[in-house]
Amino acid sequence: MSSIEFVKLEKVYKGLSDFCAVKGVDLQINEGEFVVFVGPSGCGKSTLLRMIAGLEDISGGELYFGDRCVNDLSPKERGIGMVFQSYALYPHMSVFDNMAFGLTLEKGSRETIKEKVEEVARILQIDHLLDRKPKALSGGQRQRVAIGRAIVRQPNVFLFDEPLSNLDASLRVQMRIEITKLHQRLKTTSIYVTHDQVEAMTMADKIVVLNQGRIMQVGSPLQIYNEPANTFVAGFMGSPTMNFIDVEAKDDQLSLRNGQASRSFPMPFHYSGQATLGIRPEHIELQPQADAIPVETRICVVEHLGNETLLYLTTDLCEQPLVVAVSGETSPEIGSALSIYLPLERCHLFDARGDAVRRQGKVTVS
Amino acid sequence: MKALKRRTGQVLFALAVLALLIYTIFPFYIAIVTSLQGGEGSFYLPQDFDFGNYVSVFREQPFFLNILNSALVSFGTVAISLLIAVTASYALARVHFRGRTTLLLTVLGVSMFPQVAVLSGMFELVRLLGLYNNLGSLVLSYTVFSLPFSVWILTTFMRGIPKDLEEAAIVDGATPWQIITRIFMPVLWPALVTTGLLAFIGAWNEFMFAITFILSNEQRTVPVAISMISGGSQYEMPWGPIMAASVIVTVPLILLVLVFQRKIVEGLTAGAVKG
Repeated sequence: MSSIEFVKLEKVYKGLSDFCAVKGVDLQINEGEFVVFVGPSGCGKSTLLRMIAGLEDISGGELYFGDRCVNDLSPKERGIGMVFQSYALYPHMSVFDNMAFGLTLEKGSRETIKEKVEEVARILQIDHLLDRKPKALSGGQRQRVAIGRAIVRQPNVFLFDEPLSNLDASLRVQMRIEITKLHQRLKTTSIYVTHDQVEAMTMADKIVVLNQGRIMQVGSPLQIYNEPANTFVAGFMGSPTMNFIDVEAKDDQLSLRNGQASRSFPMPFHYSGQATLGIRPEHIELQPQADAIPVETRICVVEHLGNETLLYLTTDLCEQPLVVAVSGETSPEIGSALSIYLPLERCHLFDARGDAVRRQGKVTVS
Repeated sequence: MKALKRRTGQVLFALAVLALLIYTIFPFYIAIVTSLQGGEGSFYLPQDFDFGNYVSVFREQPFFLNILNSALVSFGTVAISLLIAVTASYALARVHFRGRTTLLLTVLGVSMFPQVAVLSGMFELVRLLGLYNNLGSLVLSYTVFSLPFSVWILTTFMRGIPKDLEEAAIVDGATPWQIITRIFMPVLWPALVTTGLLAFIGAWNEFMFAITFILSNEQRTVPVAISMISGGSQYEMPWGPIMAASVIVTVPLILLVLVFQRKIVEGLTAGAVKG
């Protein structure tokens, strides 16, 4: 087990025009932590993981496991275990041989290998499958074998590269819980790459949101949800995505760019200039509230999800329809008018560059 | 009316199949029938059942030795060209280096020369290495000709192996040689069998190099030995023994193909990573 530290880590792909996939990433991962890298495709999260694994050369900066710089060490010397998206099981070997492969290369004795493999197989509940070939396994079983192969060598660091994206939805939930339980049991430092924000929110001790090769925000799942550092994080995490409304702020007053008349509200932010107001669909209220911005809207689309209903509302505040999540089932008439209330408590304000403006304490709308 | 139309279609199709069968099998039929007859000339219908020709093939020349030579040369060629081809294709498919495509195209270009074009150059090489009238000369020249296609076929297959599989092995601590021998070769088994078989057939049937580089009867390979079978007089073609010899040397090939055929199909349907 070890902590990991990134110092100005960079990855440049040399070519006709150099492509910089990872740009100066600094990050501290504590021993035993479960860290999730999340971001859209092409954000550099897999590249970063592969740099930690040693499968990708580091173009600049330093990578430390504990206080040892591992820049020039092979994956084996770094002591990592990795689970691949495609499982990457050796198709011609039995489950036992798949898991034992790394140990046999280390020339361990037959008995200890057998003992270790069987113990891990018991933990993962695949001990009855040891003689089978990968082609005779289901997706979930293959995933367990792939995890077993990574665990059996007792690595310092576990790396998961979108391990659940090939599984169907229900199996994914089940495996997610099992990986979390496994981590609680083994307490090995783990780094998990995914583009699925539900996996990120549910599994992580610490989420690292990446975009275009840079870290956008690092924090606990609830920090990321409640205090997004910028519009990218705010829009990426959360489903349905946060509503954004262009506003103008001046002297602690917020004016909405309403077509007809503009109204101002006192705001709990200290900022002047062009800004973006963000509010999550689940925080918009349909009942009149104190300290809330009332908005007149018209219903354009209704989506029924069973446990909640999503209303898409057109307003003259912004071109995109606002989304409101209402719990339970309601069947409002499409085209009818609806008044909604945006509680200031729940609003986020982002400056012209998209960075979050810090909250100033409680203000009341008179 | 409709039934009649379908009936005629079926009959025509059957006739076409029959014609094709006769066309492909007839030469082999003649060979087998002729080999079983005593006397001279070739025959269309079996008249008697006589293994005399088979016995005479072995009695009148060191034919058993010739078969052994052929087997030695063919297996040697397969072993050496597979070893070189597997390692070369690993580099060509997996390692990024400057001039990789150029190298692959050069390999392909070399294989386009006809045998005659390289015969004299090869002869010089064989003399230089002191391999004249030695089976080594044949292994050398056959390997030269089987390598280009082996490398190409294996490179294509090697590219088809998911990168994850290789990286999983790297993470497990395998060296490149271990990756080739413990992971890639078992996965590539069908491709190896196919290229090996093609190289084997090429070496087993080759005539021109075999007659040029080998002088003595004891070192000859089968195709040359068959061509050297002579009859009672200068004007007589000993068809019986020639056909008997041909049948004898074709049998190993057919057996090899039959043995490996099932393996090839098995391997191709096994599926590598995902299912």
